[in-house]
Amino acid sequence: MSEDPGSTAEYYDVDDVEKAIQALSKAEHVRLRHISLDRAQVLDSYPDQIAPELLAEAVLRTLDGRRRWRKGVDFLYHLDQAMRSIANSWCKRHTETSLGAEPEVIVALAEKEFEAGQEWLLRSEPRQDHVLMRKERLKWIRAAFSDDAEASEVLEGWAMEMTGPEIQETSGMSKKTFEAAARRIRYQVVRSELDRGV
Amino acid sequence: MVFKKSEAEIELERVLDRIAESIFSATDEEILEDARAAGEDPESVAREQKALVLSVIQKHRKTVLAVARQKYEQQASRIRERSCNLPETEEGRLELLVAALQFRPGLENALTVQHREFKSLSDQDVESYLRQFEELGVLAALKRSKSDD
Repeated sequence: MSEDPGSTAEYYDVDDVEKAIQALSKAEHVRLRHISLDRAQVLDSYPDQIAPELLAEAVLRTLDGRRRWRKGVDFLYHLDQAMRSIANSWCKRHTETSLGAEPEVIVALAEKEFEAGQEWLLRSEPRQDHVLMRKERLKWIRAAFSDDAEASEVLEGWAMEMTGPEIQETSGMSKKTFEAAARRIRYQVVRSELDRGV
Repeated sequence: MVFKKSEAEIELERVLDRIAESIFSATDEEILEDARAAGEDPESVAREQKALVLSVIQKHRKTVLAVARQKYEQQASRIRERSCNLPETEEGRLELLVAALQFRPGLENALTVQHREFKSLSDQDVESYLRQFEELGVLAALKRSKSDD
């Protein structure tokens, strides 16, 4: 829809996107579900509720050209980056409206930028506790691993922007131990128990 | 109002980025195992996800159609509203249509099959075709060619 004819050769078109969606395998669908749950962690205490809206919005934006899929980029990776950016922009808007915007500003914002998935913005009134939730989220994830020293070390390393090899070197952890810990974290985050922040 | 992330939010983002990397680097089997271990049935998760993304495709197609329809309606209404000096009588309008078709024989394709013999052509149809020909500039060209003669 909003294609720039000068650069269409760099991007896949709507037909390509539809074909890629139709061709997704069972494992890819499950992987997408896990990615959307991961990206939805910043949005709500109940990521499982907002994750489908986040994914739907990423797919819609890809189809209508607002977030074009660059050639050579893996489709799932493209959707992941789209969800990351959408979640950030929803967060930003939500935080801005939480920090003192007048109700009419919120309504105007919602009317102006209402899109699929943004029902969340309207449904969840801007509240300080959402901002707080984002600040507390990592604490909840950490708490889930309070009895798991290796996973805790990996989490701390990740929070400090360390790479896997850096974490292994600093902690003396083997690659296998690191990968197993990373998997436990991944698994916990996509589990529903963590959705409630417990 | 400036949106500034707290250190805790930045750290959370870093952790979520790494988890996403971990999801990408996992094998298909590990991903399916993760789902099973979380008490989910990968088959039904995949089915639900598929239904979700396919519904987005449907929604997008409907939007594209609605936009195209709206464009068409706007164009059609512009044609209808455009002032057009058509003959006042029914016979006069039919004569003008025949003259336009003789002037530009290729325009016959614009007429639907049942109308090509003018048998079932109502005066409304004639007027509609004439307005479209006017929009295409055919009637003006016909008028010019007649005045040149």
